Amino acid sequence: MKTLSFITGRALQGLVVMFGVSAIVFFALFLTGDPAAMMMSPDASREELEAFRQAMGFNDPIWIQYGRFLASAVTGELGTSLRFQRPALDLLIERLPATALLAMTALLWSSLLGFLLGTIAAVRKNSAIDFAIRIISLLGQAIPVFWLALLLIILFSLKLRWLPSSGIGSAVHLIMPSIALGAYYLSAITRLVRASLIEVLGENYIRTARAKGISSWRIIVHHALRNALIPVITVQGMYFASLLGGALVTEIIFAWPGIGRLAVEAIQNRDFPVVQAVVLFAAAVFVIVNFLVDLAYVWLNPRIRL
Amino acid sequence: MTRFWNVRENADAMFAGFLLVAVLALCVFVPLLWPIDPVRGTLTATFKPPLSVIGGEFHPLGTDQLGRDLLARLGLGTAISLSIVLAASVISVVLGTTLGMIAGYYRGWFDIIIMRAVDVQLAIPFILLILLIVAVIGPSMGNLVVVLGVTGWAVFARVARAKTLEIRELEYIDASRSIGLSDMVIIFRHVLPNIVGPITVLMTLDLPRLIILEASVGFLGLGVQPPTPTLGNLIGEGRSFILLANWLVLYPGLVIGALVIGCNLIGDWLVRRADSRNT
Amino acid sequence: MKKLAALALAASMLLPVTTAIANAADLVVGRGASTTAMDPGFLKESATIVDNIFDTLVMRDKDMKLVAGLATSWTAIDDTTWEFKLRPGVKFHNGEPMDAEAVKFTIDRVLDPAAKSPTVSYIRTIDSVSIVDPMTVRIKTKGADPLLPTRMSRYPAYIVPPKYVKEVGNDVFARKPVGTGPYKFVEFVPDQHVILQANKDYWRGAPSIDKVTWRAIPDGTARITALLTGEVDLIENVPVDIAPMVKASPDADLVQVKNGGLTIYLGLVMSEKPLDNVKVRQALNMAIDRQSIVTNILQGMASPRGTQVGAADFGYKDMPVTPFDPKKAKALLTEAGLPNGFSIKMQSTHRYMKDGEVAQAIAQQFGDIGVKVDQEVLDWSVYTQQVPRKGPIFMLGWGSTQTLDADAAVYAIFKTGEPYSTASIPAMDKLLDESRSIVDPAKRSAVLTQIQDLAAEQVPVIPLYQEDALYGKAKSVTFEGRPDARIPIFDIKKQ
Repeated sequence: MKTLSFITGRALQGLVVMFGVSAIVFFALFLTGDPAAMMMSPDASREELEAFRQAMGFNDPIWIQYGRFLASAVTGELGTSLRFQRPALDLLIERLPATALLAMTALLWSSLLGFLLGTIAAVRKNSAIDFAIRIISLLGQAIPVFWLALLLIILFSLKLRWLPSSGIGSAVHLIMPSIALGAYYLSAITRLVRASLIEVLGENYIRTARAKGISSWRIIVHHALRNALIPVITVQGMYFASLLGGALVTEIIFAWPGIGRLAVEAIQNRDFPVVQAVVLFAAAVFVIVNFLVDLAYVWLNPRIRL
Repeated sequence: MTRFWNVRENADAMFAGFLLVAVLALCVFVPLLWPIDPVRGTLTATFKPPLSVIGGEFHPLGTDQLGRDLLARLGLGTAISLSIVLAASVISVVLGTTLGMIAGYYRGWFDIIIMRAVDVQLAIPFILLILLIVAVIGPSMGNLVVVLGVTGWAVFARVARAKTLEIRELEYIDASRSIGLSDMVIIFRHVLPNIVGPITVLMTLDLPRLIILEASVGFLGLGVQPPTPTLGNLIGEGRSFILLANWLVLYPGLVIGALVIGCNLIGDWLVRRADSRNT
Repeated sequence: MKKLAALALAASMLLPVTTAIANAADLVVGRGASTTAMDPGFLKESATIVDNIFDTLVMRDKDMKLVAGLATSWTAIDDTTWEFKLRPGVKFHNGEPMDAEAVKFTIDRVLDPAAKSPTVSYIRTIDSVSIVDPMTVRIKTKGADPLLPTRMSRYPAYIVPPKYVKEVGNDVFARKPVGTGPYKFVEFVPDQHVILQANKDYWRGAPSIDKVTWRAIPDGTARITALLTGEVDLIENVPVDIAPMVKASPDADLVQVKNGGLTIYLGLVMSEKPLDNVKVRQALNMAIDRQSIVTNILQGMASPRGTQVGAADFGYKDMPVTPFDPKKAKALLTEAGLPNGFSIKMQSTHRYMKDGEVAQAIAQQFGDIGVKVDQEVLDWSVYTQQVPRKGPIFMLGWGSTQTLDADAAVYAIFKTGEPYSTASIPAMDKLLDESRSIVDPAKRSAVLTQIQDLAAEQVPVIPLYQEDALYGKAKSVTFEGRPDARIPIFDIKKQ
């Protein structure tokens, strides 16, 4: 029962968060000025501008606009893109597979490699290899995504001609964008796994197991890693929000037709409904992922069960 | 532990110290001592590679797209970026810590509101929010500091609150309350000193995020206005010329790398020291 | 590494594998901007793609002369009526006949106030369209409009199929366009590509390129790389600094269309002091070293200009470029009562060739005559909200390729009270009004010349230079570029 009320409590919190996000998103965007002037041709007359504003509802009081926005958002209606003249939600869903593919690939390779490197570093703590892994993982966090992306294009496309420079199509198109996007997570996960594994390895039951002569790798795989997983998963949930930030730049540089590029182009064109839809969507994904993380938490460590 | 191990344990901190001192030297000595103007250029001397000598002027890091000296720009740019990032960080820390302490100390409805606000803040992608706000209020150094600062408070509020919750249960806080000390005095005299440690560590670990954010905003052209250089502006402007003059992006990139690695290592080292003191 | 290989394998199952290098009958074009919609009556972007799907009544040949398109001939019946004879036997890609009804439908749907077409202003002079017989239409204008045939040569006047548009609605039409042009629409994936297939029954003959893919590659470096590695055959908007690299490459050529781009100018908000003083405006005009900017920053990919009118425009006068003379500029400032200069804000954006660098150079040159410039560089979206009201100095590009007539280059930015004008010079307003009421070409040309002379003296804006249009193409492709910025795939050959 306690688990159930914990879960419903978390779900309610998520709804409250989504409400707060919708308010911020709406009011922040409303201050961006006059969308009519942007959408119409430069030499459109004042009457034409006014008519356009009237039709789009830009002249109503702001709280009426917000009420309208909230009411339709609840029913899954996120407005119509000013630039595409199509429902913002449709545009988002169209681009979702591309971003999901890129993000999942990036998360997958960086998690697997991160676990491997983190484990090696923790087991060989303070050795030369530990130091090397830590420097490599620090570099991943120190190199801005756009810088790495350009470097990859110059090296693998322009100089070596191994990989296509941009676009989506076959599996080879996925390699460079997912490396650029995943580099940051690789370092984050490596560092986390290393830190939490070192902590777990220091605990009594591991020492006991070691004293009993169970081989180190068995201990690590069967006991330590499972416990080290908890903080890693918690932090993964937090990183999810910044994933879209990375995807923003990556998608622009590699001409990847995903949500990040949709968002940047929408901001550049002041396409209000699309920007609102993207931020709301990103927040919803964040809330859901963190809800799942909470569940995983309960499942991974029964001691936490409330 | 033997002394030998101590040296090995602190090797990363020493390395980090070396990186940070080098960057600090760059942004203190270059603007003060380097004689070439970072803002004025010679249009006939654009894109000169590092170690060029033009008209009697030596350009150790080359010149940029307007013939300006890259070393001078890098020195000033690093100084400006660091000022922005530190100022933003102070805003985040003060805002977050204050709200977090008050929330943790009083609990109740204020706590609930603050903690939900933290959740809301963390759920919105930082970069999208920053781009939006800067697009609305216009790009300038002051605006950038405020936006970076105001969007970064949530993590500090969360930690400050958690620590305050721990501390307020301690006996001496109860005692202070019973002798009639006001809440504000208790919060700032007795709670705050206990939070400074973890907040400082968190701040060190948060700085790299801010440095990269500033660079990303500059990369997208929404940062401090030209001709003022910042690390982000230098890379943002230089990236169009990366096929032609890679040094314009390479050297600012190295400085960012040194800063981020330095801050991270120092942060880790602080965490480790705090842990070993506690056990 | 094994994991990476496994991942690549897994991913390859999710995605269809396409060949990276296009074959000889196919052409791939890399563009800087994504396509959003392809309804020619409601375009909010350049017409590069729809140019190849649709035809207009009147077309322009390589030398920008008006030639017969879907109309075989046109004549002015009186001052306000034009009659167009249509080309018989032309069919839309879906089999619908192209006739007078289609022409009337095309224009009426753009003029309809309820439709709110963003480009209606280009044909706003039209009063009504009437059908004389299935192959003859008459267009009535509100006043005399000598430019009407020109207006019928580009968007929003591409002829659309009435039955199809009514059947599917405007939204679907914008995503699945049907025209009479050399290429048929095949596929549109937003942010990815638009694919077109040759129209074998095209009235000018079958095109030689079989399939065209338009890919959107927003990043300049990635676009260039795609060209150099052969992933695309043609790219738009080559960054000026990389242009020499494309030129030197064994795999690609640079196509430089002299004067194919916009004319960049500094707008001056004349209601703000001290820009109300003509001496100050003249001083600023003389303080700029245009030649140095063009040579050193723009690598010669632009031409310094003394007038806003494009060289290919009707009414163009070859005005001398204002000489760079900081001494005289300083003297003028002293005469204006500002011997110590003044401080002023200058706005610019990221839109044109190296505009950020040019703005910084100009700020420095203004500084040399004592005018301290406070620079503000805004994102284009913000910029369009503020320009031209704020300023007081702002940088903007203006073009007249739509009509290739001086009127488009000057009226909107010189005339008092026009949305994009910050000038107010009564003598100029009088000339501008006069130019619009004359039908006789020779007399009109004379007035347009007078306007340019007056502008050189009064400096309502500071003309800087006209950009060239830069394309990159694979060696195997023949493409010369056009002053009206079109990419007519019909005229392109590939070996």
